[in-house]
Amino acid sequence: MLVTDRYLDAVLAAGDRPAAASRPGPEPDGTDLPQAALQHAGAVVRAALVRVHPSFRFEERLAGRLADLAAADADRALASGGARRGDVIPFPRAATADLLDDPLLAAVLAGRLDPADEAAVERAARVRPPARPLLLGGAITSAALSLVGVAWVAWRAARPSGSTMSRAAREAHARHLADIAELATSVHGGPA
Amino acid sequence: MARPGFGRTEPAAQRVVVALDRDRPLVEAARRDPAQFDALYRKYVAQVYAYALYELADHHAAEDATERTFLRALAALPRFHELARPEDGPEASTFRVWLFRIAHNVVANERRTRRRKPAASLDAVVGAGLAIADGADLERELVTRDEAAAALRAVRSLPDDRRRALLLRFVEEMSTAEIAGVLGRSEGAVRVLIHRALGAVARELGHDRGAPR
Repeated sequence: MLVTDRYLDAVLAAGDRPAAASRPGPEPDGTDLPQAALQHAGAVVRAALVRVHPSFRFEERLAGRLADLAAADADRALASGGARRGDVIPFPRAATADLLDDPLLAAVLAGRLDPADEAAVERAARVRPPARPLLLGGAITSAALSLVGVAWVAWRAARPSGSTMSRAAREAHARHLADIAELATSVHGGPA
Repeated sequence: MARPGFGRTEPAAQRVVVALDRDRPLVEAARRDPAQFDALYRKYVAQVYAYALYELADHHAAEDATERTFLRALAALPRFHELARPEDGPEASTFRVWLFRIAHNVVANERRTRRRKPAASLDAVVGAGLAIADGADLERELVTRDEAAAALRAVRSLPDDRRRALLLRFVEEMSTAEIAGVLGRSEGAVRVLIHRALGAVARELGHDRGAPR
């Protein structure tokens, strides 16, 4: 193993120098390639894999988003305990609202996820965010308008509740209808 | 390279005095004031972007991955622990290793998603790399364009772990110890990965029958 390590270090170091300056070394067991071939391959890879720089526009845009996140973090710290009586606590910044659309970033911010932990990130990425509930006519369905939800609302409307509050509401509604009927009779003349 | 920790308290016997991490002043400044994270961002944005571009072969995907990497790094910075060892040397940066572990996870996740929804061809990055490579650089290294293209084809077809080890070594110029920290492998395993990757490139170059040229 030690021989293998020394050999590989020599090959890799050769990639850092001109190939001609490299010294030959022992080859590890099971390697059928001449060391010079590996060294040349290292030189070719080094020349071919160039360092690519992102566009200036992208770099500045991301710098702005990082600054927004840093400022939002400071605001959050202020609002969650750092504020003294009389301090003005700012509203959440609109610029950072879309950052929190990334559920993994929100989990990292909350300290629930280690972004350097491969297994944890993979597990978190597989979890789909819950569908938002839809409120419709008093029926809450988990995904969208469903026939079950409509049937439940119809059934519930046809079945008066027996609670005290419901009874009081029904009596008040009945009295209101009776008052209207009485008023109509007095205006238009009812049966003598 | 010791692995960077996250939110864990090491036993006192294992705790190491950290005096070597070259990014320590920048990390401490960013911890005191998150706005100071900008210095770390400017220092590493090109490295992270290049890694993402070679892995994802798409400029837009590489920008997205770079953005996610730095946003998550900033969000997690208060819980990052430096754990460099004296033997890691004065050039050690556990922050860089930690940052690239985050980038590695972002990229791996993106690649899994793309496997389900295949999009851009890897040929794009081969073309992009060759377009950007300076002819003078190739000449100085005594490398022809054909050889560079063949090497990129070989790199493209490497298994994931070998390709990543090679990219971290030759694009990011990381030490074996740093690559081991990023990939979560032993240093010996990383040496073997790089050696096998170079072997594959040498075979693609047709140099497996004797000395090159």
